[in-house]
Amino acid sequence: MVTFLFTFILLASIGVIAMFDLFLYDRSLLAILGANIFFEKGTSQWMLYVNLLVGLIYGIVVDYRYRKSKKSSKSS
Amino acid sequence: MKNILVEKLSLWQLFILIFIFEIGSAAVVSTGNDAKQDAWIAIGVAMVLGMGVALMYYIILSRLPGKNLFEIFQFCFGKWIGGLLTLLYILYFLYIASRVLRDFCELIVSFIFEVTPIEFIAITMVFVIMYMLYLGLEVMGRTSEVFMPYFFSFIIIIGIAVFISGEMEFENLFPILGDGFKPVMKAVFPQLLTFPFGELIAFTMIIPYATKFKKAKKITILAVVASGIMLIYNAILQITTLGVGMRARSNFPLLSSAREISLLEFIERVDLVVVFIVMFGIIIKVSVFFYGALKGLELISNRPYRMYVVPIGTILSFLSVKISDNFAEHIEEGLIVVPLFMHVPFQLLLPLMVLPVLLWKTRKSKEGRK
Repeated sequence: MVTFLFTFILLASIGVIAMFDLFLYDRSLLAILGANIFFEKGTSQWMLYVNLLVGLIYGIVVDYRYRKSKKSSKSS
Repeated sequence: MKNILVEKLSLWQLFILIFIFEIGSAAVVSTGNDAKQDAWIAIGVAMVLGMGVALMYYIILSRLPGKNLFEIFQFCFGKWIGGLLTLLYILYFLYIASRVLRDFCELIVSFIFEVTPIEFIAITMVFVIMYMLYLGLEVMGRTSEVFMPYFFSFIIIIGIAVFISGEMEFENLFPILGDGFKPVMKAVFPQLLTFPFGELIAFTMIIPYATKFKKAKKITILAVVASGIMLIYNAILQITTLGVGMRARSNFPLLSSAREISLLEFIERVDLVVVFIVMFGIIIKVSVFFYGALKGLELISNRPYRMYVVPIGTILSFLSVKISDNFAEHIEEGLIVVPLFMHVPFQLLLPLMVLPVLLWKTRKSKEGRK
């Protein structure tokens, strides 16, 4: 659930940002989405993606542990 | 629901949180520029209207004591529509939190850490916020209690120091209402009413956890008045020190004003004091919005919000950088799109829509009990 909501919130937020950019600036949807999803080479934006990866892994671990504890409580 | 803790906040902590939250980023960027030298009057008018908005939020919460706005949505509209509204509010809270965080990052990158990447500032700030929220709402309340005296006294001292330095020109405040009341009202709606006063919507997630809920109404109104007075003081300080034109052009007018301080040719460059005020204000403001989003996720997924602190925190730092390419774009979006398309619907229209349904439903259930 944590992983699912993490992914959903991330994509929805990117959608919101893209919507506003589309409203304000004369750029195509694909260009805006591309700029929001991928990082610009030569900048420090890679830090954000590494950070996101940490968040994703954390989410997967939390989900796994939650499922495991649920299973063990059922079996006992 | 498993492991979900009930947290409590004292009334004093609630007062401080609202006070710091309201001043937060409003102290960083200039507000009420449309009213020019009457910006302080516009803030005063917005404060009075803001009291009404805060009262409306309290009325909504008081119909179902102990339940936050998202739980009230579910009560009024059922699980699915209530869940959908909650999801929209989660996105709204996260978006605004990332905007507020971006304000601070821009300030730091422009004035203090000029060669440090903005991404690094955003990530480290979110780490602090994540840690505080992971420890809970009570820790956030206590932290604000500790720092409040510094926060309050530094703002007052900056004004006094600028005055003693002889940099204030009170003629800048005249003519009062020279262009009539129209520019003032233009500044009030939607900008000043929604930012910062309408942003109290995030407190609909916190007020239900006050120890004495019945007294929370008085405390909330008092905090709105106190923060409004502080913002008026701030605006007068900026207008008299910088003048209308310079204030409108300056990205961070409070910081520019503080740079004018020169006491005894010894106490100068007190920028760091302003950075402290702003940093603490922003930490509290982002935390409150982030907490609101986490409480929404808790309700939707039926799992404790602490599980989401780290993953959603990483999204927050990501969004704060990706939200706009540069500061000019960030401000343009903040002035044109956000007030009309985000603040007005989420702060005013949706709560106004909920209110009659809630009144009708709670009256019906009370009659049923009788």
